[in-house]
Amino acid sequence: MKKSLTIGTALILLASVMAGCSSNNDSNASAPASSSSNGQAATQPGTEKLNKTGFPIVNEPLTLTAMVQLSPAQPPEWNDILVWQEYEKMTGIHIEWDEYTAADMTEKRNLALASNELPDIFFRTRMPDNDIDKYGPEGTFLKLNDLIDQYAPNFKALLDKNKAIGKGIATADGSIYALPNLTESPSIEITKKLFLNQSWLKSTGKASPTTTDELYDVLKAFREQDANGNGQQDEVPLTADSLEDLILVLRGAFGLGNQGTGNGNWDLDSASGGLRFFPASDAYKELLVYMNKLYSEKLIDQEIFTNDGKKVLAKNEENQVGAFSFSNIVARANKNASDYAGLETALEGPNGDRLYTSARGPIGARGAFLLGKTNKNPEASMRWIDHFYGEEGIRMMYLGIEGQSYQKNADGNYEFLPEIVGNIPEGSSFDQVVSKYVPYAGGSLPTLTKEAYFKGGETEPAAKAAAEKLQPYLPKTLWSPFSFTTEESEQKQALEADINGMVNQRAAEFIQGKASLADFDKYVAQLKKMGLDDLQKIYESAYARYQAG
Amino acid sequence: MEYNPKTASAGDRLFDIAVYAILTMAALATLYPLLYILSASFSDPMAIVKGKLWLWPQRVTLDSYREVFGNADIWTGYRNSLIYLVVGTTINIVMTTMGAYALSRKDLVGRHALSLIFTFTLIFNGGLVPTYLTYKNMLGLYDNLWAMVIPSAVSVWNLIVMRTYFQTSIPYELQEAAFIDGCSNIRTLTRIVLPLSMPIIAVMTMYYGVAHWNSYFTALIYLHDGWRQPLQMVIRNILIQEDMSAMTGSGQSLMDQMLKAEGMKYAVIVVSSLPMLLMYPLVQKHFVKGVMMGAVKG
Repeated sequence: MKKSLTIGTALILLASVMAGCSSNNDSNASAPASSSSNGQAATQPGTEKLNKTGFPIVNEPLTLTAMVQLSPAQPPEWNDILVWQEYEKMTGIHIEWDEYTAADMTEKRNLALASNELPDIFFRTRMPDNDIDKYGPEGTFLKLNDLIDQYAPNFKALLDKNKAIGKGIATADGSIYALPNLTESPSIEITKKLFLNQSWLKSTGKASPTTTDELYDVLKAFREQDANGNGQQDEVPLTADSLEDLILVLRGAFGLGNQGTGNGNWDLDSASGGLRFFPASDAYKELLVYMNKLYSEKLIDQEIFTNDGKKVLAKNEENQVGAFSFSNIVARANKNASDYAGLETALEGPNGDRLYTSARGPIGARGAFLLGKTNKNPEASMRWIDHFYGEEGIRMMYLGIEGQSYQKNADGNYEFLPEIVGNIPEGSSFDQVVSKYVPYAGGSLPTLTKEAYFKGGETEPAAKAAAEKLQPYLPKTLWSPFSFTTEESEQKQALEADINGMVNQRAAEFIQGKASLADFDKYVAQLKKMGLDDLQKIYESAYARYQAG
Repeated sequence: MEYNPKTASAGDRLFDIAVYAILTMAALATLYPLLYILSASFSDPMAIVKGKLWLWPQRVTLDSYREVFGNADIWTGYRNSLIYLVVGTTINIVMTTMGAYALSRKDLVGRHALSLIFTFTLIFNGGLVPTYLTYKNMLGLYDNLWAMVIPSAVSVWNLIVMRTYFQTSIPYELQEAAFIDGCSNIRTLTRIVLPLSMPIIAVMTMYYGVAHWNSYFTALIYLHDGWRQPLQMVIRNILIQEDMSAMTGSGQSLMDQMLKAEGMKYAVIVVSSLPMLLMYPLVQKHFVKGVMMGAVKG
């Protein structure tokens, strides 16, 4: 009996191993086969079907599959959006959209990558940078460099115009696997802004602060002088969705993040000019001391560590907020939105730094558009997307079709038709209404976002005005994200998970006063112990490539 | 001797007090979140967001429920979940009973080998991606209603519990007697064994039913179209709303929508848990008995 059991088990194991082998063989055998058929399709009949310029792109109807993340405001069938119907008529290319909600996207995308059942196009799938660097060189995505040269004149023009874009989207060896979401709008690129309650400033008789000390005075006055005039000391002088958002708007005054937000916690040491991990710097300690002072005097929202957007919105609804950090006003202040305005100037810190560093370069998201290796029509796909990096295509993406969804006003500005946005039905939002015509809701699309066409919160007049006032104080160079080799990327991910976790945790403790700032040196030593020096080496080699490239 | 708290020693009494205290705390810790969700579902969402809610509903309103019952997706999800529950559990019970009965019979050839193969799957499985590819390409189960009920037809764990029950609670002599009287295998199962196994079947129904009701991962991976999604997926989509920072809507509508979603969250949890909460007391009397009989005597 026992013997038969062992034999049986052995057989099962053997069978499973063989099954594994044979399926491996299959995939190995089919991979070159499909790629060679790819090549054929491209060289022989493909060229006849494809027009190199102009519309339509293809002479025979062509269907491509695409995976896309659906915004809750959008119709669940993406082809119900007017722009896609019109674009299909223009190009002759039908897109079979596979729409997934934000909740499902990660699983579905990972499943597609792991199982090699790839769509032709990954369109706004929130592809993480690490996955681009990993799956790109492995051959899961098509390399786009040649396709861009030949079939994407609009995108190529953008690359030629701004070198930072090319540096930011290429992998360590210069390959491009993904087309990015780009922005051309200071109001979006200045990611977080500090907004101050102007009616509170008036009621406390204070002017808009220009230094960190003045900010402290203003916040103190908000709290002590019953700025909202309800007789209770329920004022929350300064709040944000999270502690990070607050640090972002304050750190520039301490000279931190002096190359923008492109590479997280890294910037340049102004003294030596070398790469610096600024949460281990003395200036960062000064920032923590300052924020600890604000927090301990209850000038920073005491709930900041558990806050979220809803709470900020709710506090604003009760007129309890004196200042908050966010990209725009209307998404965090509703009833009292008109009370708010941005800073008049960037704050000057104790050491005379007057810099505003919550800003990034033109790249909004790196992995907005990728082609799966099984895509048999990469040329047509590239031509299809390139339209949206040109003026007309961008307008189409954000405003739709002239006469059907938007019009050009007498002053030369473009607006949605008043009959569309003039009467938004009860229970719907602006985004829901316009999403019948345009696909931009949810952001991060493979296109260039321009202020003239984009009607979202960041380009509301008050946010725009705030950005304009801060613009003179932005760092001279705003880094694009560095690119890392697969090996570096793996090592970096492991190190950063620990180190950045420690930085965030200790920042919260220092600011709350749970840990004494006298222990700052111990904290730096601990970061070193966690491998900060190794991380520094990785970033230094990436930075060297970045400067050379 | 019967334990009498009045005559127990001081040490024993102290022990009792400690036990009760710990159990009370455990009960409170379990009850509080439930009560909180129930209260929140009847409260004004604004009060929840502001953190004014501790235990009892604040500014009682039925708006959240109105919103939930007015949502077509939730009804679709409810309907689908009920279908998966009924069809799935029926398949489960039939398959598990047949498997367990066969394995419980000493005269089954290769019984141990079969058991081993079943047990093998408890410890090893193919992993998500190979399983996905098999379902999708070989079985054609992708975006197919059967994906929700067929692959999970038998839970080996439950099968073993049931087999043990058959072996220990129903004397083999009874089955032999049935054979002598001329019963076939099927007849023995349906006329002799099953009528004696109602407790374990009630328990299995409960186990499988709850599993079907709560399952979302299968649906997440294998279902695509909205009209097939079970309730848990609909809820998941409501709970994991897109990050608020991505919202660019303007004016009052954003606030309204945000609050609506906040209130709906709690109401939807209540609405979806209710059927299972109501089922438990009904099956409970079989519950303890059934599980014990299957498990302990083996």
